Amino acid sequence: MTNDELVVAGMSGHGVVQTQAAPVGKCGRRRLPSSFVIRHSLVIGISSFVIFVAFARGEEPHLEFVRGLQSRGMADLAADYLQRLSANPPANLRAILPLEVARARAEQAHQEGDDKKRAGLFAAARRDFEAFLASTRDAKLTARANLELARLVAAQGKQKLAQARRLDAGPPRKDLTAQARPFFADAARRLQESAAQIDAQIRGTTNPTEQRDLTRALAQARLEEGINQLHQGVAMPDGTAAEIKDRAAVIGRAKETLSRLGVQDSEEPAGWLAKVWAGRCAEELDSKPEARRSYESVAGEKSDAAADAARTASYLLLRLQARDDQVPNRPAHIQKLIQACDDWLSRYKSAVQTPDGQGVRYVLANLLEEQAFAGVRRDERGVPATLPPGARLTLGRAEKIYRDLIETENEFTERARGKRAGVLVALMGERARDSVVRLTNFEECYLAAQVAAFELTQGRKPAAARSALYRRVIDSLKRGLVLAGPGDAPRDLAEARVMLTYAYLASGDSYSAAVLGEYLGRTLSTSRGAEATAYALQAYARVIALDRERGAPPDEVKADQRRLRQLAETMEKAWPDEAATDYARHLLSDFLLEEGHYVEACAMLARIAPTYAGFAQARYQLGAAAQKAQGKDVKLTPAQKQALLTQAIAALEQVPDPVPGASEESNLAATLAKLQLGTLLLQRPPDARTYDNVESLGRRLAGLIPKLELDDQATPQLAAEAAKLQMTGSEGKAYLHLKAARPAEARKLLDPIVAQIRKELDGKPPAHAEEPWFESYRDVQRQILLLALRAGIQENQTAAARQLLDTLRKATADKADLLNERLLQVVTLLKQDAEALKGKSGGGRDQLEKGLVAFLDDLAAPERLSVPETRLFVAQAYSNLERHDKAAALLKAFPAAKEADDQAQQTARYAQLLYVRELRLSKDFKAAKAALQPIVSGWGKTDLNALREALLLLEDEGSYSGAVNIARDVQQQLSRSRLEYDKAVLAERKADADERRATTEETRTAAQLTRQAAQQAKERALNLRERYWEFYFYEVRCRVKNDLKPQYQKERDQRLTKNAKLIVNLENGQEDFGGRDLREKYRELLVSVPALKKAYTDQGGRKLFADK
Amino acid sequence: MREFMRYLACVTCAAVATTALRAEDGKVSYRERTGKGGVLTASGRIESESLAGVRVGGKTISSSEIIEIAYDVPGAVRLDYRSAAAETKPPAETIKDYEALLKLPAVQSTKYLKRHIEYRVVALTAARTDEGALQLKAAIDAIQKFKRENADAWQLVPLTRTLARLMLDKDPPDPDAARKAYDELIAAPGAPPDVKLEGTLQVIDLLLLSGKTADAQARLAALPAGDPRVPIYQIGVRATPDKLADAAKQLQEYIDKTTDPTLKAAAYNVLGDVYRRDPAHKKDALYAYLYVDVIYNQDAVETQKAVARLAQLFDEFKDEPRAKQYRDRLRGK
Repeated sequence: MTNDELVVAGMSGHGVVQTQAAPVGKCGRRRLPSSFVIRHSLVIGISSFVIFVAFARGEEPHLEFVRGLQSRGMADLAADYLQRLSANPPANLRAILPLEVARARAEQAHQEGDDKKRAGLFAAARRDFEAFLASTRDAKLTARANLELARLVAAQGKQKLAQARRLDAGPPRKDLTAQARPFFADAARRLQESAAQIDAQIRGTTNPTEQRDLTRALAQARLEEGINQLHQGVAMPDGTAAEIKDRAAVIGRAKETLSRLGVQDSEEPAGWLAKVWAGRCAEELDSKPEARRSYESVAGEKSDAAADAARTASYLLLRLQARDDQVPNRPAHIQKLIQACDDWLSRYKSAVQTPDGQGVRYVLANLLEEQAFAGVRRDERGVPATLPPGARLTLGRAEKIYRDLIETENEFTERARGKRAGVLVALMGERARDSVVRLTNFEECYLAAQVAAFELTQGRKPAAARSALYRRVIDSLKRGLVLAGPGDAPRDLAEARVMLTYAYLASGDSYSAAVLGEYLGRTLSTSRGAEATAYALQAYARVIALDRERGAPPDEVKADQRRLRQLAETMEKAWPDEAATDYARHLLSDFLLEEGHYVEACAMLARIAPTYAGFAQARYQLGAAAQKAQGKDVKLTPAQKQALLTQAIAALEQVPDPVPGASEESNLAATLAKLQLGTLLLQRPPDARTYDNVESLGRRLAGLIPKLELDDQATPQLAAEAAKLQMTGSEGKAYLHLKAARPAEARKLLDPIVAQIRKELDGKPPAHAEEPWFESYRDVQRQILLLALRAGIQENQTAAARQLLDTLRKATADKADLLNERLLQVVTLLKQDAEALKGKSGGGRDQLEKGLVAFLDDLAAPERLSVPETRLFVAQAYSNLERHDKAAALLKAFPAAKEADDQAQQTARYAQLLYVRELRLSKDFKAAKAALQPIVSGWGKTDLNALREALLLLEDEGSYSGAVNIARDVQQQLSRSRLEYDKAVLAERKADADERRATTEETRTAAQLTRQAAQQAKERALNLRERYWEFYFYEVRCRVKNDLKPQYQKERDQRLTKNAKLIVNLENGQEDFGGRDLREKYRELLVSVPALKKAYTDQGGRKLFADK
Repeated sequence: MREFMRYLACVTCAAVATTALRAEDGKVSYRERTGKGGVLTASGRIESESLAGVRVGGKTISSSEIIEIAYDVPGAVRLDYRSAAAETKPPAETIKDYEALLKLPAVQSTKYLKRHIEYRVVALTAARTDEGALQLKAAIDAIQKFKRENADAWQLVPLTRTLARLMLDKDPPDPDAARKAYDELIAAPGAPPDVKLEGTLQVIDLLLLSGKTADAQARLAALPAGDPRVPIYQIGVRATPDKLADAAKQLQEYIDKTTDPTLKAAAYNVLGDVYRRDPAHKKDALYAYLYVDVIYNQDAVETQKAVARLAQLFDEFKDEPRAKQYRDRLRGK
């Protein structure tokens, strides 16, 4: 047995109860289709009690009606009916109605032929079951709902597996098979749980009817377990000897489970079905005789309980026998089997459309084909040379069966399509290769095209041969469509046109494909119209790519893009439910993203179904779009941004984890999507649950990535990204502990990570350590170390903090500045923490400050200050803690830099200025002046920072006029930059207005160029312009301070009004008050001098307090 | 040995006699309208056949309840007859098989069998009307011819239903001609009361379909007041556009009250008709008819009515596969 067929039959085959529908037509009673019976065997058992209650109360038999609709293939209406009933549920159904709705959806999914819709229905049913389970407290219903849910999950896995089996060997097949595995694993767990629950209920009841129902349900659960186990085995990889062994072991266990169930009870349908499935396990394990015995033992069984099992067994037996090429007289064997297939189809008329019936028809067509070709001579290409009339007739029948199988989407569709094409080749013979002009009608032309299309699929062919075959497909179809008459089926004509579109596309004639596909999309309302439109979209995409390759003018590219976009939009509107439309959505979202329409792009990407080949990639893009939308420059309200984030997170959560064994492409997309999920989670307001999620997501991915077959270059980067997520999650949790004054808890979380970081740093650097992306990984490690350091300091663990500092040094390697910057951040944060503890009881602040100072004192030990950067850091840290004397003492001894070392020179100058500052802040103005003197007469003569320090020293000393003089001098020097900036602003405004008024392309372009030049000028003058206004502020502040001197008491208000005017004028002329922080500084000044604030308000000033 | 030869001779003679005797024997399948519903069979000598029904084995089965008759035929044609009567081939081929049978003397000499085969040919001709307008006309002509030639046949009852349906299948539909077909049946000599009642109800349906409410009311008033279906139809007839909700409520109450599946079916069909008049309640109409098709399908006439309405409704819902499925059922496919 092949896996393909195992899955096929697996979609049916396990049922229990026989039931009869109401009398219909002259045939009297009609049996329900087997697949329905099978799926509902359990449901009927469960619902019988409810139905009885319904009748007893005179209610309409709603559930019987629903089952009736389902048995007639109207599961969608059944689900809709229940949904409508839910709006005003009858009292006796109220409790179970949600469960019934979920079941109806599940049944609808089983009956749905379209993969995408089926997946959606499965998902909806699953949500319904989960919602029901979350809300019900009824233990019995819980157990049954669990069982139903488990079956549904298994069915989802089977769907994936079935989809995989329809594909040729290759990455997509591998992907789908790998994706099926987690479903089977999940189903197995659920089945075990529900079996245990039902078992417990059996033991807890004494009611015989209930016991019987529960026992039946338990048998069903066990049967499902066995079948699921078999599918688990089938979905396992079998590339190596070890894998084959593991796979066989799992299937062997399934066989044991099923065999045990099979011997238990001959009165129960589940027992009979278990026997059949045990046979299938044997077949899968290549134990054909055993499989045959199992099938034979059930196929001949006449009891009602075995009816469904017997039907499936006889199909499987036929299939097994058809493969037996060791029989002594194969032709007689074939004839006998053909008769047996005909008998089967006649006996089980109602099952002809079920998977079993499709299987029998497929076997029959295969046998007919073999019978017809027996003894027929073939040419060198393997094509039958001539066909005797009898063989032609037999092949004709086989062709018809294949054609019927192709009509619907089923497990055999693809294989039947291939087989039929082979048969057509034989039937057409030489005519298939005849000159196209000799073909006389549409039918002949259409067949010739199909034959050529079939030949294209047979092995690899040189480009010239492929091109010739495409030419023949195109020529045949074009001629056929010309010759078509009223007698030709419209459906075949439509098929031929769609086929022609594809042939144009595949042969590189993108323009023809685009035009014809677009036309068909407009004229065909069926799914074939959607397919044709999808071809047209691909064709336009290719046309655009070619436009770009040949350097086509932008207008030409834009025109093609516009057509592509319009077509995609049409497709989205006309065929929202067609699988092909997802391609259009993906294209449209690209456009929307390019235009910065993130909300619309996210909505479009969210509509792409999980069945789409690029689903994970689309979801990744959705996440990236949502992330971009969080940017400050995106004009969305905070609520909209939040909603987008929530939507993207939910969408990314739907992407399955990458799966070992799946293709590189799909795993890469899934991994990126999951990493994106982690990134988005971190954008949510921080809480422990989010960090937990991020940590576990990172851990999961970090564990999976080494098992995935990814590109060698991508693997380390992805692994690093996953590790970053995990570390960030842990860091977040530790941070929350620290904020809640639980440093010990924080350290508990961080210590193992710190140990791991140390191990990494002590070891050999990885090969990719020089890659640019590795720096961000190191940075997260540094963040962890800094947080651990903060926790250590908080706990007054000086030794531990020192160790951490050493590790940090290693982690920053040659980036001493970076280290100091980060350390200073820690000190600042700790200082803030200490401030926050001000006034709170418990002595927390003192302890924290004590810990911080102890840490710095430890660092300030002479033996550790040999590195200038450390000395500088410790000094800055003391300064932050307002220990200016200690800072000044350290800076006084700051070593002089070597002449040639520019970097060291810069640091030394910075230290000198800092020294002046610390002296000033510790009020030692004399020493500060002495230290400043050599600076301002030397390298600091024109240095704005040195001049500022000189100004501030005078200001702190109370020498305001001196300070004002310095401020004015500097302003004078910088006035040119300020004017240039203001001029550029005006020029930019004018260019904007010019562009708005522009009526020709030429004037518009000219305005755009002017604006560009103005922006560049602004950029150039920006820094010095800000310094200008900074010194202006110092001037104003010094003037105010001067005006507050006692000697100006009388005219104080007048003087302050003058200063207030200066501020108001500034706010009228410079919207930003001249620079980034200046608005805040002015506000502080006004707050500190109430009279000035009043004067400012009186003068019409408002911007500084507008938001207060 | 002589004893044995005598025995053999006796057995052979008896067999020949039995064959001859049972030439007009048969098995009648019919619907049981009362009780649980379903299909029953009555076997034995077919004593008489008329528009009123078939008398078989001492029991009379009304023509409105008969589904099918399987005649016991002479051994010479038995296999051919059975093969044709199974009707497993496409209608066109089955018609050919029946026509070949009709040429056989054994069939020509057996009145009821011959007539029944002719009826099947007409019925199968009507099953081919999806092949086009010409085939529709051929089917209507064939039924009219059968009616003219077999004025007393029980088969006129199912054929009148078919004829009415074909008239409605015409483009444009011809409800007047459909009504005329039922009126002719009602007026036919020998038509039994249940056939008359059924015919009248169908006429009322058709009148309502044409918007002739007053005529429908008049026909309804002429029905025996004791018939339990009359109140149901009265609700339907009185349901003016402003009183649709009220009518639906009354019908729902009737459905809740009665336990008779046949009456439930009639009420659901009328309920469906009422809902159908309001575009916002078309889906409710669909479920009402489906209740008849799925649950309360004991009465063939009501079921057939529901099936016809469902074919139309699915068509309106643009659900072509289901519309076709129901159309096929109407055509006996």
